[in-house]
Amino acid sequence: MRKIPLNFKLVLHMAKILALSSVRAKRATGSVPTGFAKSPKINILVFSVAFPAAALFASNFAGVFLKGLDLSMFFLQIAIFIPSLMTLASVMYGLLFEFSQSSSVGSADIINWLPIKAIEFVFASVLSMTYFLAPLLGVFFGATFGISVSVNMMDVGLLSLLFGVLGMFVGAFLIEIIRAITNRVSASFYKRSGRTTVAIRMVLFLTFMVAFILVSNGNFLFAILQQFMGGIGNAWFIPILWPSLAVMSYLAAEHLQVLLYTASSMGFAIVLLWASVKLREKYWVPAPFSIKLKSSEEYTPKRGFLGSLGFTAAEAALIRKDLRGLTRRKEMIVWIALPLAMSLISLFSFQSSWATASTTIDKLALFWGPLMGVFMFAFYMTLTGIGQEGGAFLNLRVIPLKEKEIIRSKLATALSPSFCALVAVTAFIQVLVQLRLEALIVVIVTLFAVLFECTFVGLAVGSRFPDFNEVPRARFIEQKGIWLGMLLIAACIGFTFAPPFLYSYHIFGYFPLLVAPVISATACILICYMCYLATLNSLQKLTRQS
Amino acid sequence: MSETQSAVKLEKVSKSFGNIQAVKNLDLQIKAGTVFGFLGPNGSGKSTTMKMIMGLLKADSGALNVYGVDVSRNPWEVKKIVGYVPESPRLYEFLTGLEYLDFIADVYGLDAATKKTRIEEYLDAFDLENRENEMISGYSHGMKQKIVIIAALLHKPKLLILDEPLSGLDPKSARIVKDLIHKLTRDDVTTIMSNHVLEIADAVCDKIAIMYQGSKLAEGKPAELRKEAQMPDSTLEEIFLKLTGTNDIKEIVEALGK
Repeated sequence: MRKIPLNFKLVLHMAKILALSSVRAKRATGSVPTGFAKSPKINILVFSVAFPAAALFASNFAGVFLKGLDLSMFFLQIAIFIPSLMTLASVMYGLLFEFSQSSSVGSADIINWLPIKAIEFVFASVLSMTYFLAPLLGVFFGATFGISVSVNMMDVGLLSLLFGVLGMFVGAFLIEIIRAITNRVSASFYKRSGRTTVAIRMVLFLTFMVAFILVSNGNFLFAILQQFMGGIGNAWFIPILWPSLAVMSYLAAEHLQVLLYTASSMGFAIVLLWASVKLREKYWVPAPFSIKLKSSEEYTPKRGFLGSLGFTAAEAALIRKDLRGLTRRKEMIVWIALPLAMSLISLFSFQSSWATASTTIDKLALFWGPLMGVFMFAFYMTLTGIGQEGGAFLNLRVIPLKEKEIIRSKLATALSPSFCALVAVTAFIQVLVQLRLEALIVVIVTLFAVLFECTFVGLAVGSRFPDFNEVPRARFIEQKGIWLGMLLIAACIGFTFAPPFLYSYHIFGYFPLLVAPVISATACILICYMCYLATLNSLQKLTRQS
Repeated sequence: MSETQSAVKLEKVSKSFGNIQAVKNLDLQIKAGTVFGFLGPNGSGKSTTMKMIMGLLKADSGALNVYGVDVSRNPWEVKKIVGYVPESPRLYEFLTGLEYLDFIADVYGLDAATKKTRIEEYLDAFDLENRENEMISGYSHGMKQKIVIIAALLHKPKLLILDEPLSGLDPKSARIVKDLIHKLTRDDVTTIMSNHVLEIADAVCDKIAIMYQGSKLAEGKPAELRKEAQMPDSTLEEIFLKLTGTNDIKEIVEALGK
């Protein structure tokens, strides 16, 4: 009998290493955790606590939180959807991990030269993802199981979760296939194209990221769920839906179909596993590639229009470098995708909400999506502005750049696109809402004050908590920096928006409308100045001797 | 030696990282227009010393001067006159080689004509022409090293600090770097370099300091070091092994080979 070509001990050890690389990527200090937290077992422990806790909670309180919904019908929809959702979720998670991984990591992966079989790596990779997602799965699976108990459909709940696990593995195998193919395809593709490659890559990543953010949105997901339930019966030819169809057949008591779909689902998973192993074997080592952005021609140095805007040569060079990074680095795409997705989400309900909006404030509130998008872009660009330098921050330390020059260029990089976008959104608001002059001044001052605050606060926090680690994933900002930044920016936005709101709702009685923008602008100037000083201080610490 | 003749002057410089003392009471004077080599095993304090001269690390005690400028008080002035090749170069991988050099040249404030002439000259000299429009992420280690060396030379520095500059270079480029160092010396440029290849140090450096566990064991011209070690006909490698107390490697190799 042929020996099974799998070293389970090695698979488990490697899965642990891969999971650790994800867990420790969060640690900005580079310190190694001690005690129980050093092992991915912590995730399994969290799962074993989260599952019963979520189940207990959902079985007792689901009815309270989902008031107005037919709980049984809701559960049935969820139960059918879960297996496909799990496939989708693991594909999305896998791709997200790929995108956030620094480009330079892939080819340096030690597994490429260690005596590890492709099948062992595939299993370890899949298992590591399970480790990593375990806490989330604990809550989600627990809640689903809890609801199934409360509606007396525990058998359906269990079946759905089993197929959910299968769906998750299907997704994980798909990711392995995608990784192996992209190793090969992207190498040949990048070699041939050049500048177009950068554009296509950006559009592809952007599309994926926007799709991911939309799918992660509750309302959007619910709309998909409705569509899914209407169409799944006719989609028997799509293999990734077979686990969902098995659950659906079980509900219809069509036992033969249950068997058929179950066998097909498992067969499909095995085929995917086989394909992922074969592709891994074939395209094991990523082929090195280089992107030639233009054909060799005579080099002509350009000063560009940034010089005429008053930036020094060094500042202009830094701005150009950062703008190039924004379009060329896959880790940066998320900062463009996030605001874009915010705008799209708000557009879904814009038309219906516009019809019912009666006051000017109501109408203005409908533009929250694009406005938040612009503010978020500016905020995240500066928040990650220093950390995105990564290890190459050394360049800024050895060249004669003054801290003030770094600040000016980082602010300009974030402000130049967001300022233009905000002008466009404001013009759009004026065309649709047709504000009177005084109100328009208030809107313009308040919105641009918030934009400047987002940029300055982002840079102050980003320069205080930068994360220069690029391996295994580039994060650019420490976790505490994100939380602190969000907290500060929420406070600043609240403070800046307060005067016009106080005026609109006469909370402190009547005061002239134009007093509001004066207060907002003054607050903005103070906040920006304080942030500037804080940034200067942090950058001096970072760039000077340590 | 007078203050004006010294390109670099270190007085009683010490630096610790936690409990580890990386550099201990180091005194050093490097004459302008010479090539000074640091030799020593891994962890002997060579890179730390060079980083302190560059202003990247702050000395715990002692004084550091580069061309009369106090490094701790005015690191910016020092950066303007120094070209630095770090031990592990980190580049902006999303830029092309040409874009990176253009960026560096702009930061040093080179005018368009000078920038163009120098970048084209160096790209040609280091065999990087026709590859300059490719993103750095696709470059080999040696090509990245060449880009870093060019970046350090673009502004015609008065002091070059090269931490393992020849690592990863092909023989032709290594030769170019060595010849370039000699040429720069004739133009009164001072070079400080660390190197593990002792033959290169012997051939390139006017003066060598052998570092061990953060201290300077010996300093002088290669011939002076031979004399000091009472090994007149020995290679620099043999002197190095003797001074650093690592000359008993025969036993180690035998043990490893078992």
